[in-house]
Amino acid sequence: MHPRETLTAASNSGPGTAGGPDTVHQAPQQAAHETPRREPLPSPNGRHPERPSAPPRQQPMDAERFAGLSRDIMAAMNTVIDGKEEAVALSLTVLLARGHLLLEDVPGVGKTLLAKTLARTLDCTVSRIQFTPDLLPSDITGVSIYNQSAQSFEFRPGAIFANLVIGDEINRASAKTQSALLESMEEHQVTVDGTSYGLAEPFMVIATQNPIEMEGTYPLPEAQRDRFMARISMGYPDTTAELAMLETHQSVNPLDAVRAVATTADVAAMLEVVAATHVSGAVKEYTVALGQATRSSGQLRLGASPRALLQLLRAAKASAALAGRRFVLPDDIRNLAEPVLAHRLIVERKAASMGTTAADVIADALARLPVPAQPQAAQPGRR
Amino acid sequence: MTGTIAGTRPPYGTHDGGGPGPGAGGGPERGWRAGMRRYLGRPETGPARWVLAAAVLGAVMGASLGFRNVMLDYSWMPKAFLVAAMTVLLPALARRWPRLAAFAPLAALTGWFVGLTLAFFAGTAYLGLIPSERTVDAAVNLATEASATIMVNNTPVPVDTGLVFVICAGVGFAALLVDTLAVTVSMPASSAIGLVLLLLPASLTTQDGIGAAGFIGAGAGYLLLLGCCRWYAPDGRLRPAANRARSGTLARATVLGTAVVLVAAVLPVAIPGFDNGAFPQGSRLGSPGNVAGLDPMISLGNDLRTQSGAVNLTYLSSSDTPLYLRMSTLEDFSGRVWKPSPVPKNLTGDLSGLAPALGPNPAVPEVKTTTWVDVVNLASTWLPAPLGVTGVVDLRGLWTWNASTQTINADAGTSTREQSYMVTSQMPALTPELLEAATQRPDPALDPVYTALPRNVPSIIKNTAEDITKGKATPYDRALAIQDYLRSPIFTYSEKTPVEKGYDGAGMNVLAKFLEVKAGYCVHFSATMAVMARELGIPSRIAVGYAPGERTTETALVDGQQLAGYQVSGRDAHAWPELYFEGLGWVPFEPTPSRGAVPAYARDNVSGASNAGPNDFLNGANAKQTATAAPSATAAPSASAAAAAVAPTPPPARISASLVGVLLVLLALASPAFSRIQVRRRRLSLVRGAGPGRWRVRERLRRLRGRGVAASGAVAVAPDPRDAPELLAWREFIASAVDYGYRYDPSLTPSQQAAGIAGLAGFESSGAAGAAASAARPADVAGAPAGTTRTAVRTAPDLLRDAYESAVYGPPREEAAGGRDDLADAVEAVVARFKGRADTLARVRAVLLPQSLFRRTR
Repeated sequence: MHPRETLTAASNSGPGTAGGPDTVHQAPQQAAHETPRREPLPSPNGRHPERPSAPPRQQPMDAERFAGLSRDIMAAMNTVIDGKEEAVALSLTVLLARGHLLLEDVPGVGKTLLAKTLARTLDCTVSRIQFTPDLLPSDITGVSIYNQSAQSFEFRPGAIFANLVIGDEINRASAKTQSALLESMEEHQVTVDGTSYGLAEPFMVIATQNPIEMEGTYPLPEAQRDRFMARISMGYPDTTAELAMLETHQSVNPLDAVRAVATTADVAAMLEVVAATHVSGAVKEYTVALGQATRSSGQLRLGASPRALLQLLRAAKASAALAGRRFVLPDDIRNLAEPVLAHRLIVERKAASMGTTAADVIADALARLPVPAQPQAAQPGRR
Repeated sequence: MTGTIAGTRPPYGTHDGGGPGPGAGGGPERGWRAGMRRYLGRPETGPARWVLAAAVLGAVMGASLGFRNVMLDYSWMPKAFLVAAMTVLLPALARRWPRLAAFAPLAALTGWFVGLTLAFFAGTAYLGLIPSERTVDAAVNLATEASATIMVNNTPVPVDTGLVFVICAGVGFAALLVDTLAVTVSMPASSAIGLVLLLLPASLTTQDGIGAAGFIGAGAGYLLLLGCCRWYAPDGRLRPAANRARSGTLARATVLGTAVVLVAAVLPVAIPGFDNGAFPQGSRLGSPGNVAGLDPMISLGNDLRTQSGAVNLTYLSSSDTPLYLRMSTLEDFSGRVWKPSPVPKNLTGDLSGLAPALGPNPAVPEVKTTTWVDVVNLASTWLPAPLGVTGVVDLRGLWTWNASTQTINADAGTSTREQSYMVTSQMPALTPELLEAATQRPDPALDPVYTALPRNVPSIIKNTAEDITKGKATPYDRALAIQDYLRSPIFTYSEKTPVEKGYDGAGMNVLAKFLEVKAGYCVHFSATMAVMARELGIPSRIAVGYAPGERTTETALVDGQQLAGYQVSGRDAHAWPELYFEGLGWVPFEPTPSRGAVPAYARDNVSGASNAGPNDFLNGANAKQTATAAPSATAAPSASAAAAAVAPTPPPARISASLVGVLLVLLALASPAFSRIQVRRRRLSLVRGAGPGRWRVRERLRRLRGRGVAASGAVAVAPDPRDAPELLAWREFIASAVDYGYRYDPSLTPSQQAAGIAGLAGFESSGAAGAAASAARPADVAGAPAGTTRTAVRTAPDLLRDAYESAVYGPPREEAAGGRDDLADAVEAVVARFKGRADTLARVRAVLLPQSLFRRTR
């Protein structure tokens, strides 16, 4: 099989084809290039370098339409995944915050199902990469091959060229392949043979990984985990949800019943709404204080990076917009702190041996930090 | 904001909101110091607390200028400044950390102690700062000295350490009070109480009152304080920079000022005997013009100077010579002051057959006198009676006889008020010959207090005494020589000279100065004579009471004796020496020129040289009324002062009722309940009416500045966002909840706070219950995800939270919001709900000890 050739969102036909070709790439081509990688670290002052890549729309989406769309998306997903409203909401949040999602859990709790369901509800292109130890970078990014008839090299896009990329068991691939994926995640572009190819918008990678150490896994290094906006664990469903799951998934796959409720244009408009969400100085202060608390914590070897804080704030904006607000509350930061920050922190060995987890450290910091309550208006020169 | 924003709950909000995490604590290497820093909170920056401290200091020192008329000079000022500065310095330091700010009064108290220690007892304290046991002793000694000074002296008082100590303590206490009221409980207007406390002594004890300097100083200080509080701490919180903010201080100051003027105008009408001046400047509280008696606290000064010739008592006497009525005696001379000796125990209450401890020899012929005393207007614990009392009848209440001093003292609760009694007395028929013959040494049984002299008697006293008694052999001759010397024309009677030259009182230095200047009044003359007599070996004491007074036309015939009537007024108050002659007992002398009557036995030799006044008997009746009234008045406080010091109850118990009233009012004002009510009322009124008022001001400014610069005018008065009604309502909401037991945790977000409070107050369907509410309605769950169904019922906490969140975290609004009646109503609804649910104990605690005053809720 070969990667999808539809590169833009506009040329996408419909939901029927969206989730169809779940592509498993085992192409043997070798991509022998080294991609120069930029490190666009965000400035820590809390400003948002929003990417201007979203297609400009004449009319901003109004709040009601936004709320309706998000409600529909989540409702559709909840029919497939029982009892996981939080994971569903968080995946949508990450999508709207232009981030990437890392699903980490034991096999069989519906990680892939969640990714696929999200892809289904959106009318956009989807590709799926099953990571294996022999997967090559060119399988992901694409490769230039010599066309005999045209007497020239032509670019065959890899699996990354889709709106939604599902990376299954990402820690099974070699580090080289992982880094090929991660470059495109960060920069929303692919460079092959010195030519850069932009990726479609929206672009989101949902990667799953198994926490259990298995043979042939290459755990993601910290720097690469940092690229994912959020990591969530699905967790086992509760009794009611599990019973309902057994009922619904018995004979028919509920995924088949899911129809796309939002087009890529809708999603782009929603992204604009999210970008326009107001962030007060108090919330920024709170975010920075939280980051500094993790950095100065004696139980952590590595604290939250400025990029982590930037992504936390972006996720908070999406969360606020999903809640129907036009401004971010400290609650957003609080609720998102663990999924966004926990996978980036490294606990001291001593503390870890006593059972302390990154989530504990974050909860501790949240319980300590006072929530700033200063209105920022009319005092531009303050502090 | 649109309607959908009502549900501000994040959709996946299962964060329990909760409590502090599994407090593993900070890192081990950071230890307690980091924990301490966290606990203390973020330090305040900016000049606010220093500006406020300086304002408090300025106000207090300004008000203390009012002591100008109480003290002779300003040499006490540096020490008072030191004490007040320490008192405001420590709270200012404490306010650096928000957590400690509530304990600023304790810091001020510490500063007060340290300041006093540093200024007065540096030698006795550890490191010069920390009071030790000896410090306490020294302080008690100083205070005792000061009370003695207050009782004996006339204002202005010479600067002595004891009095400076008391004044510095007062100034420091006022600084503590002002600091607490103005900054800690953020009621700058009522801090005037502290300043008024400083003005009271001057206005109550001096004729000139606080004077222009004191008034201007206090007024300017108060205005400075109001201004600084308004600019730097409009809501009881310090702010980093001076911001313009409405705080209502102006309005309250206006109301307060009006009230003060009204009280000052109305009180004099209500108080009897208040004939001139405005309260408290013209106050005559407790002066003997009323029946209140000579109150020592108030009679420190010369308010007695103005007392009229109102009759204090009348008496009918069978004596053919004018009678001196004694009340008490001063015999314990420490060098600094004359004090009464302590009252011995086991005094008899039987007032018949009385005899002095060391009376005259029975062989000496005696003269019996019967005196009917009718007290018209005097309340004293000492009974006016002639020397040589043998019995008193018709006296109400319990009285005890002190044979050593020959005085009659009342037990607690009794006074001379409206008494009418008969005194029988007998005195030896004294003649110069008899006295001349009394040359024996005093009986060894005589109390040594009558002969004791301090070691540091100035040489001028001793030298003068030896000079004028050169060649005089007998004690009587010597006594006469002293009296004649003092009555000779080189001495002038003046009540003003001692005050002007700064030697008022009766201390040793004062006497030395008196002998140089040779002008004074009865206190000086009698004390000088008493000291000189002791120098020459004659036991002596000072009797305090009334000079004979004015003869009336009244007569009576009792038991065949013709009784002549006299009336004694306040200006007849007097002091005179009594000398002891073995075999004759105590013999009074009259060294004061122009006062009283020189006894026959003491004037025959030198009548030519005597400097008799224009009218020995009727001093008050001549034209120089003020000139003569003052000295007579001065003796009277001495009398009562003696009474106070000897009375079985300690002096503090005799603090006049007016001061107790002031203290009670202070307590009521400072009580947490009152503060809390004030804070709540102000916040709610701001929430309701803040907008329009601010808008009006802005409109007015705009109109004033003209249309061309309208925009700039509007910018200039941009309101402080921290005084927005939403924020104030939220603050009050939290404070009310804390009052009723909510544990405020600054690390919780507003919605978590609101949810916690709503749960405590029993509101249903609040933010925290959002998920539960949606779970309870499966229909909703099917159609919509959780978190968006919260708009069903908006309770008061929800309303407050939404308003607060959008004000603090929302995009800035263009125009100033008006008053938010709905928010104020919501706050009141929450409070009512709390009240309804709390048990009686919690309700009482919320009112009397509102926790929000003691905990940091921001």
